[in-house]
Amino acid sequence: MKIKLSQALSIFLLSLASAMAQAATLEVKEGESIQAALTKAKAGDTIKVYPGTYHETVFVDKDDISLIGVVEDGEWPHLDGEKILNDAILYSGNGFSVEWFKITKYKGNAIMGQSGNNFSIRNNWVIDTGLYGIFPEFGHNGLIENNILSEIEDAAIYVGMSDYVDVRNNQVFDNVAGIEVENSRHVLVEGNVARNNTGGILVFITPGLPIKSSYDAVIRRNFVTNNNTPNFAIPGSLVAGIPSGTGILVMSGDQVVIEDNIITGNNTGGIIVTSGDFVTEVASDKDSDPHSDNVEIRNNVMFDNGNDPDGEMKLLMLSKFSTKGPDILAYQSAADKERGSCISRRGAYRSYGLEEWADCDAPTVRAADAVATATDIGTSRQLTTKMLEAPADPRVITADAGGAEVVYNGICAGCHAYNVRLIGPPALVIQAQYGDDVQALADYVANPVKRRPDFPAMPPQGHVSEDMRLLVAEYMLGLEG
Amino acid sequence: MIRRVLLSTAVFSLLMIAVAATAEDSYQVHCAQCHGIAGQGNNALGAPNLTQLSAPYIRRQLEGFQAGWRESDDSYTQTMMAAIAALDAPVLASATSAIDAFPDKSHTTAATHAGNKKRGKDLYNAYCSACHGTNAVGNDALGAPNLLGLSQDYLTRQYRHFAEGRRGGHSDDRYGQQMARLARALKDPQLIDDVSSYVATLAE
Ligand code: HEC
Ligand code: HEC
Repeated sequence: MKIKLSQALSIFLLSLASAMAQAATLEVKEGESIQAALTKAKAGDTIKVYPGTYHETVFVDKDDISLIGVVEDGEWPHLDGEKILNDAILYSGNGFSVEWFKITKYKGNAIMGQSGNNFSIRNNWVIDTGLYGIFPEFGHNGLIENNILSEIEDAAIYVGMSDYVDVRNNQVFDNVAGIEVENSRHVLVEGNVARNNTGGILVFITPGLPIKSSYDAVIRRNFVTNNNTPNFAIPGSLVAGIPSGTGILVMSGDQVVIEDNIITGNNTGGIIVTSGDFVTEVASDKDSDPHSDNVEIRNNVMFDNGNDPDGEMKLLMLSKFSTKGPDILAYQSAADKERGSCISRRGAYRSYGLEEWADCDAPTVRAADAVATATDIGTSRQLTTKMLEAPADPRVITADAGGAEVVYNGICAGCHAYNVRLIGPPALVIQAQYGDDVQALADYVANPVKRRPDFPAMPPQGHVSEDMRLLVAEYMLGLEG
Repeated sequence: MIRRVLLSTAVFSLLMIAVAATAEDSYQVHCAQCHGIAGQGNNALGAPNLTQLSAPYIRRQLEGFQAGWRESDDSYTQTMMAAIAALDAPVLASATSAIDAFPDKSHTTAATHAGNKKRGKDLYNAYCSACHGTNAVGNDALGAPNLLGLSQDYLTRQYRHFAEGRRGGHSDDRYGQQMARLARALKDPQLIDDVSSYVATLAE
């Protein structure tokens, strides 16, 4: 009786609370500022943005915000960075969704998640936004769907240090990396078109990042074609090492299923499975395993790959008495039996290094049928999503060293690895430069000065509070790998 | 009268020559015997090529040799310190401008340390390029010198000094301290040979 009463009371209070916190819809028209609307908005609100051109960077630090573009008569709301602004949309709030924006000419990112969980990024049209296009960093549970991205200098879609993410039905072309799953777990990459990039779809571990593994990725029913664009990444950076002509690359990834894709016309190779020293021999992260384990390659349609292998791949193929690259290459340790990888229809492909791979169980049912009947056939085919059934717990940023770690992972680690050159100088170099001068680093981060002509400018992080900047600076200067 | 006029003209023109030649002279008199007549260095004496170094970097090093914060027990460093101990600031300044005027010689001498150039490249990009530049030409805004013209012997010796605390240990040596912290994070001599072999290819 007592229990029932208190339950009734709490339900009453809850409904009262939600009635008071009615979600509102705010509108932004051309000439107005999206950020101004966000400042007014409360958690749970929707912001509708009408057609027009907006030159701004939008910060979303509240939870459950929906930022919805309204496309009218073919006219899009257009975020234009004019190659002056670094980022179009930065979100750290949980439960964020963003749809129907055209985003062009930024220097850093179109849409970057900075540790927000439960995100949804759909129907956006992104052209030439600098280093990354759509980049959820350190987020759990999210959807990236129906976006179209081109002319990105690093990765168009970059799932970075994130878990439980679906990447579906996007189109990526004319980028260095089309879709990159990096130091991420439980990711489904399905039904995308990755064409005319330097590399189409990549699953790998970057050593020296806070998350040390990349596993459980399903790459299914994608079209991976003609990824032969010369590599135009910043010389010296890690992605600059990806050979042009790469269809799918698995580097240090574990439990990767590559199934039912159409992979054609990639001049270096269709699928390359390799260990970490493929793009850098500095495999110096003692906490991450450089090998690719348990890769399954099933039922992909492949032809016309390897017509003109790039650089070192050409030498490698010559050493195997071929001038052509393969459909499938298992390279370095990835060729070893103990890695536990398998291939189906091995005879159908021109391949190298698969001699010790096992045969996968024969595929039995088409993916669509398997989903419909949901019978257990022991492959990924009945899988419909890698997202969580219930939302992940919201990420909370506490004002202490723990919060600093989240901020570091969510913001800084997008460009700074410990001892590998990504976009910015490695953390180890920053440590050499600043020693234990936490204050100087915290000040720099708010007002960066460009001193390195061959690196992109560091974007100011003045939106992070002074106290938090000090904590993060201290965290960075104390990192050990 | 005529004699006096002649004499004073002679003195005047001598003075003019002295003024014009003074920079080159300071260098030739005080530095050339070790660093070579065109600043190209002399590996046998441990004296590095100076031509590719920027004037601010050279000035700072000279200041360090004189003030003592670029001191070490190393005999080459001791030689250099002794060589300029008695020289005053104007002489050093004019020697520096003479060095600045020499054509840059950034081709390294024949490789003396065998290394894995591919690994050297990966290491260089990760550990060095952010300060010395992707092409190793240096960055004055960060105090990091051009590494291209340094012989492998000199480069690896200096690097070792940083790693061992024999250079960059002094609290007045702001830039040396930065380099020393970095060198302590990558110490393996074989890896340093890899890096210097790669740097040598950049100079080609
Ligand atoms: C007796 C030989 C000798 C003379 C004379 C000499 N040097 Fe040196 N110098 C050296 C040696 C040896 C080194 C290397 C020191 C070390 O290894 O620490 C050196 C180092 C230097 C460096 C540091 C270079 C670097 O890359 O960090 C500079 C600058 C320099 N000398 C300038 C001069 C100038 C200018 C003069 C003349 C005013 C001069 N030196 C005269 C032998 C000499
Ligand atoms: C944090 C920035 C930074 C990084 C990273 C860095 N250096 Fe340096 N380096 C410097 C600075 C600054 C100096 C000049 C120190 C001084 O003024 O004495 C220097 C000096 C040197 C010198 C002495 C050159 C001379 O002429 O005497 C060598 C050799 C050198 N660095 C090699 C390297 C190598 C190799 C790496 C990578 C493994 C590296 N450095 C990484 C900042 C850096």
